Amino acid sequence: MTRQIVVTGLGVVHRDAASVPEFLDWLLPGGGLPGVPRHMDTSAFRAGRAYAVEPAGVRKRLAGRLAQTGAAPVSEIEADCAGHGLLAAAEALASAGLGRASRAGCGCSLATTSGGLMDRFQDAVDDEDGTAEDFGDTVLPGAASAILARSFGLNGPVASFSCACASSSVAIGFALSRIRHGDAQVMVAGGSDRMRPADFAGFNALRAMDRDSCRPFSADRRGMVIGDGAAMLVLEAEDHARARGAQVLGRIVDIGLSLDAHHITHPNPDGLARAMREALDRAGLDPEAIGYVNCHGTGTPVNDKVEAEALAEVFRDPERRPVISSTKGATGHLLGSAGAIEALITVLVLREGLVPAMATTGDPIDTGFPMPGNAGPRRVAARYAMSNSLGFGGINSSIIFATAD
Amino acid sequence: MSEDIVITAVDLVLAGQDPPPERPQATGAALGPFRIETICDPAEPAGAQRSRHTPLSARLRASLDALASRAGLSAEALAGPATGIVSGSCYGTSLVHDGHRQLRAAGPRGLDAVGFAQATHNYPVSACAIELGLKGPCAAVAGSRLAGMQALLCAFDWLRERRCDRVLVAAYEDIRGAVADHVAVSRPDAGVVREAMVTLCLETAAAAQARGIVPLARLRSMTVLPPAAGQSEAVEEFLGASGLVDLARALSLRVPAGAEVVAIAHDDERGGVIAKLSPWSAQGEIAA
Repeated sequence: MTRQIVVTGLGVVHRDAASVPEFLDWLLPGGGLPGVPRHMDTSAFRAGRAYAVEPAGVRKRLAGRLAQTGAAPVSEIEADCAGHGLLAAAEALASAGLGRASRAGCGCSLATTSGGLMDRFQDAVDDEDGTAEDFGDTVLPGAASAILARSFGLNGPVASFSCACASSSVAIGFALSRIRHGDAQVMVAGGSDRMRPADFAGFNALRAMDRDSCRPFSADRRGMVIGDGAAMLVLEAEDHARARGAQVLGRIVDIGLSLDAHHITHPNPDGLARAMREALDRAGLDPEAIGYVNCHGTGTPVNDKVEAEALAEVFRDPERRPVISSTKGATGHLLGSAGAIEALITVLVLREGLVPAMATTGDPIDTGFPMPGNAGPRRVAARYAMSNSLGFGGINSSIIFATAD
Repeated sequence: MSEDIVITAVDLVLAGQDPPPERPQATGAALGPFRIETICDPAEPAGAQRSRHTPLSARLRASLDALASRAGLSAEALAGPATGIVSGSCYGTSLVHDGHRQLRAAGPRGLDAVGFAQATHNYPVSACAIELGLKGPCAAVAGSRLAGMQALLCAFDWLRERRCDRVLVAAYEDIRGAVADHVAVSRPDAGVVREAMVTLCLETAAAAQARGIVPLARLRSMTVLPPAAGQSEAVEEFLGASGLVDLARALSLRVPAGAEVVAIAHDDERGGVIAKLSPWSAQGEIAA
C-alpha cells in the first residue's frame, strides 16, 4: 500500500506578506499590483514592474526568526543567497511543530531557476574588489538547499532542482518520493528564488512581460509580471505526523510529470493534459473529483489559451468542471518559487473553501470553466484540488492535494 | 526479472581522454596549482539543429545518440511517454550564469530571446527531448556534487513508481565563462577539475528483454546518506558528474557475475548517495 503523505507545515515570503495568515488575508480579495523595485534599477527595461521583496527587510527579520526556531545563524552572504527560503522554511517548520531536536533526519528539496549568487560573484571578479573568494559555494544553483539544511539541522536527503518555472513542482515530487521510498519521514519542499536583471532582460526580449499587471485568462492579457520570494511545505509521512500529534493541514496525493517534446517556449496542450491525467490515474480519481485547479496561468496570450485547451481535454464534462483560477495576477510569477507558492495556495483553498479573487482579470475569456470574479473570492467545496506548473523546455507537472480529513 | 531495473548502455566522455580525431585536445587552462580540463566538442550539428543547440546540448545529443545505438533503441522506440530524461550537474548550464556579464557588457538589450530561452539548467535535456520526441518525466538536478547521482535516483524513482519504461540519465559539467572563474577561485587544491559527459539508459528489465538486449547491470538499490565531515578530497574532480563517472568506469571493468558494483557521491553538507549494482552477465560491455 502506498504510504500516505500529509502537509503539516506551510511558510511563505512575498513582497506583501511575511507569514501565511498575512498572505491569506491579502490574497483572498485579489492581492496587489506590481511596483517598481527599489533595490534594483529596472528603468531601462520595457516592462520593469515586479513583486520585489526588499532584501533589507529580509535581513532584518531573519536573525530573529532563525533564533526563534532554533536554527543556526547564517552569514550575510548566505542571507542574501537564501534569505527568502530561510524565512519561509522557519515559518513552515514552526507551524509543523518541528523544533531543532525533532528535525534530525528531515530532508530538504528545493527549487530555483538561476539560484545562487553567481551574478554578484562575477561583479566581484570583474571589479577586482577582492571579495570573490568570500562567496564560496553560495554561487552554486543549489546553494539555498545546503544553507537551509545546515541552518535548520536537516540532515536527511538534500537536493535542488532547476527546471525553469516547473522547478518547485519537480522538487515537491522528489520530496514525495523520498518519503514514499523510506529515505525520510519529513521533507521541507518548496522554492526560493530572487529576480535578477537578466530575468527582466530575457522576459522582455521574449515580449512575455506586461508593463502594468498580469491579467490571467483576461481578453486583454499581455503577459506576466515577475517577482521573487519563497514558499515551503512540510511534507510528512502520515503515521509519523499522527504519532507526534502534528496538525494535518492537508494531503498531497500524487503528481503527474510529462514533457511536451514540442517547443522550448511554446507550450502544447497535449503535454499538460498527460501530466494531469497521470496525476489523476495515480491518485485513482476521476476528473470530476477535482473541485479546484490552480493553473499555471502566466497571463501570456499563448499560455492561457493552451492551458484552457488542456483542461478541456481532461475535464470533458462541461457540467462537472472544477473551478479554475490563476493566482499570478495577485502574486506575480515567482519564477522557481512559482510552483511552491501555488501549491501552498492550493492547500489553503482546500482548507478555507475559498478561491482568491482574480482582481486583474477584468475581461475574462470563455474558458468553459467556472472562475472567480475580480471583486471577491469564490466559494468552493472541494475535497481534491490540483496545482499545475509548466516550464520552458516543455516540462509539465500536476500535483493533486486533498483536504486533511 | 520483470520487476528489475537495469542499465542497458553507458556513454562516457571525459576531458583529457580520447580526444576526437583531427582536433587539438581541449583547453586545459592552467590556473594556479590545479588545472581545469574541458571537453573538446565535435563539430556543431549541421542544418536545422544548429540554431537549436548550444555547445552543451549538442554534446548531450551526441552522447544520447551513442547511447541509443548501444542500447538498441530505435527513434520510434525512444519517442513517446515511455521515455523520460533527467540531468544532474553541479553548476548546471554555463549560459545561465553568463547572462549577467552579457548584460553588463551590452546593456539591457544584451540578452536576446533565443539566448534567454537557452539559459535554463534544463535546456540541454529539453532540447534533446524535443528532437527525440521524449514525452515522459523530466527534471534537471543542479547545485551540488551529488547532482548526477540524484539524477540517477530520480530515474530510479520514476521506474519503480511505474511512470515510464526507461529514463535517459545524464550527468555533466560545463566549465566555461563564469563557472570556470568560480572553479578557479574556489577549488585551488582539487588537483584537476575535469568536464565530463556521462549518459546511461536505465530501464525496466522487461523493456530491455522486449528488444532482446542483454543488460549491463541491475540497479539493486539506491541509498541516501546523512552528511559526514572529513571525506577525502578527490585529486581528480568531476563535480556533479563524479558518481556517474565512477559508475561508468566500474561497469567498463567487466566485473564478474556475482560481484557488486558500488558507486558513491558525497558532499560534506548534503550527505551522499550510494548506488549498488550487480553485473547482469559477463556478456555486457561498455564502450567508454
